[in-house]
Amino acid sequence: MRTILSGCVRFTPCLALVLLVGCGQSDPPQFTLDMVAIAEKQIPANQQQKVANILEAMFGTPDDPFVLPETGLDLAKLQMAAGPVKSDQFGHETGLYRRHCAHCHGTTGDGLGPTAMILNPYPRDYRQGKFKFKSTERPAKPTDYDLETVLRQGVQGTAMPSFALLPDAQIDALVEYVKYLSMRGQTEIGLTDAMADLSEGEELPLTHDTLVAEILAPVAESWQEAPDKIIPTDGDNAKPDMPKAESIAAGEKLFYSAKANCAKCHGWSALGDGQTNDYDDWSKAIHEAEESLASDVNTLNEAEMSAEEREALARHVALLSSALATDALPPRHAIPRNLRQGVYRGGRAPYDIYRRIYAGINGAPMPAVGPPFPGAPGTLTSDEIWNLVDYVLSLPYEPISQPPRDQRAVSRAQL
Amino acid sequence: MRYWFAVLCAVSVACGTTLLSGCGRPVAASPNPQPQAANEIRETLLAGASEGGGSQAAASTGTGWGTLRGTFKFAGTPPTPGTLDVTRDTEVCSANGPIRDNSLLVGPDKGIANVVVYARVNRVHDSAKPLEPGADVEPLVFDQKDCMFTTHVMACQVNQPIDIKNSDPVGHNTKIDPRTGVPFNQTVGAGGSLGYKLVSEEALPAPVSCSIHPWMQAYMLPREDKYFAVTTSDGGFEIPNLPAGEEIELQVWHERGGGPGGAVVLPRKDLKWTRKGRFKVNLKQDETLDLGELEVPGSALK
Ligand code: HEC
Repeated sequence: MRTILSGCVRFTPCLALVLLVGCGQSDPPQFTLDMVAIAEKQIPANQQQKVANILEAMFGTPDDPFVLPETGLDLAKLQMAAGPVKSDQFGHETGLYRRHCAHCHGTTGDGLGPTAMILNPYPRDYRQGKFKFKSTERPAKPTDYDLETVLRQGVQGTAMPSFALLPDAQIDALVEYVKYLSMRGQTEIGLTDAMADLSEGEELPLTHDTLVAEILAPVAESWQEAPDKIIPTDGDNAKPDMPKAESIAAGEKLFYSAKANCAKCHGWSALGDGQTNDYDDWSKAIHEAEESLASDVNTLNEAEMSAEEREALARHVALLSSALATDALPPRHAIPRNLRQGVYRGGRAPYDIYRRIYAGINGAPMPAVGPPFPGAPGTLTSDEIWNLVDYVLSLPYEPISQPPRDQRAVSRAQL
Repeated sequence: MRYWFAVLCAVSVACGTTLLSGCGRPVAASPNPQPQAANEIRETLLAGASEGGGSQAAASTGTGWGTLRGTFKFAGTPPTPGTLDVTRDTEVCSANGPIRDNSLLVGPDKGIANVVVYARVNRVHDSAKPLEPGADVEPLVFDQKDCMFTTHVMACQVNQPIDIKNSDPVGHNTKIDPRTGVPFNQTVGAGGSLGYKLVSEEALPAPVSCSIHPWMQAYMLPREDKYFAVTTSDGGFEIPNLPAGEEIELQVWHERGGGPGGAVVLPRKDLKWTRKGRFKVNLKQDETLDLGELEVPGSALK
């Protein structure tokens, strides 16, 4: 119901535009601001305009990308990924992002493409700079190779397909473009936070010191230092020499223990049916915005206040509800993985699973059990994490994970 | 949830009428960038860092130091706190009775606990100086007991070591989500503990939660200087050694604050209270300024 409603709200303006402008000529696509965040932070219109202008100064437009040297991004690659879908007489293709990605991940990389609503899980929104499946420490950015792996292999168990058939140069260009959209998004967050932090009458200085050194550069550096943040799976973290059965047994004990806590979320049967009503960071933000809206509506209806206060609150309620209707997907619970299916979104190699357990899944409830900072003591030792890897990887092969024989025969016959 | 529907319907209707009649109901629409303005900004940014560099902190005009004090009081009849919906590990979490909703604690004298007051200043007394990254100071303990965080709202300095403990016989995972600093989501086993530090200043307190026990909620505010206070159960706060002789701005926050991000907005024009939940004072040297009772109407809280 809600889907249909917000769908209507989303498309009505487009329809109106088509009616007014007529077909055939359409405005070039624009990057858009996160209007839910802007409504929540109560950023006034003149400051919104400034944020849009600064972002265009720093990053250009979807048709004409631009980057400052501080980003370390390669403009030639971005130009190959950006713009409308085209190919010249030599078969040189541009507009790769719009051709392969934008329908799910959106022009702005906000995960709000036209097909996003019907996908589960939703496509990634890059703007927070949080990526789930990567080789690096929990809060760190993914490496180029991590993003490339996601593009080449797709994400198993989700709608994200493999792009392994694309030429290497195109994959490279798309990886660069994802980083570009993510930096743009995180810079937008930095800018709106800076606007929210201003005192009355204070203006955000449009200088290199403020905009680049304080806001853009830290984001760019976090991308540049990703290769130094890879979680090693050798040396001190190497897999211990231990008979497999023994390691699985040790892992099983840990899995259900009050030390490692895995069963609390993944369930006592590891079917992913333990704690199932939390959200990942993206859905949580929307869920919280909805709750805050509900309580504002309540205040508006029930509390006593001056006419001036009432008008301001009513305006806030109208803006936030309109932003939620057009700029957000209905929040969904983060369901812990069913570990008996053998489907791993972040890769099935033992070192993939090791890193997933060591660092947890960034942006998701799945917590880390390795050291919170390199060198610090963690909740589990590296050897214990390897025991869990062995146990997790053995779960799909336990007899109870397999469907009964006759059921398998039926389903095959049905095919 | 029901409200959401109601609002959505109202807005859909409003949008519809806007299209028909152009009525003035505000709608959130992303502004189109202005190419010329963007170009001018781009030129500046390409020219690189300005001579001298560094942000231009406003110059201090005052001398000496003073103390600020006040008490937040609930105006009217405070709501009775309910209990939280404990759905997991009840044998441990509910062992000492139902878990009270701590989001708004009003004392017998109507004092409001867990209001955070922090200053934005240009001049810092020696006793309030920022902590160096490796500073050798006692860790603050942030514990979990009976499936609650024992400190509901914690303000501390950047680089302050924090000992995240779990005194329960069940495991917790502690998820801390600062906006600019390093996020944290670690399993803390039964009886275990882990070291943590907030490494950059936040403008508003960061939420702390536990995904295994979703009712668990706390907040942490890291500030560079030591000019912050969290009200005690009587609603009182005191911040010593603030710069005197110049106007300083203070931010007021509460978990249920109705302003942006939890800002507490009071109708106090005399203190130049803003919609961002900030007010201004000008302390005299060696003065202890007591703001007395700061009345918080129900409409200022969510
Ligand atoms: C607080 C809840 C929680 C706890 C505790 C937890 N998990 Fe998870 N786990 C999740 C959620 C939620 C996901 C899915 C996250 C996503 O993909 O967004 C997940 C995903 C996973 C995955 C799938 C990775 C992939 O690539 O698809 C593995 C493996 C896993 N968890 C193992 C463990 C192990 C082992 C433990 C114990 C050390 C554990 N989990 C503890 C919530 C939890």
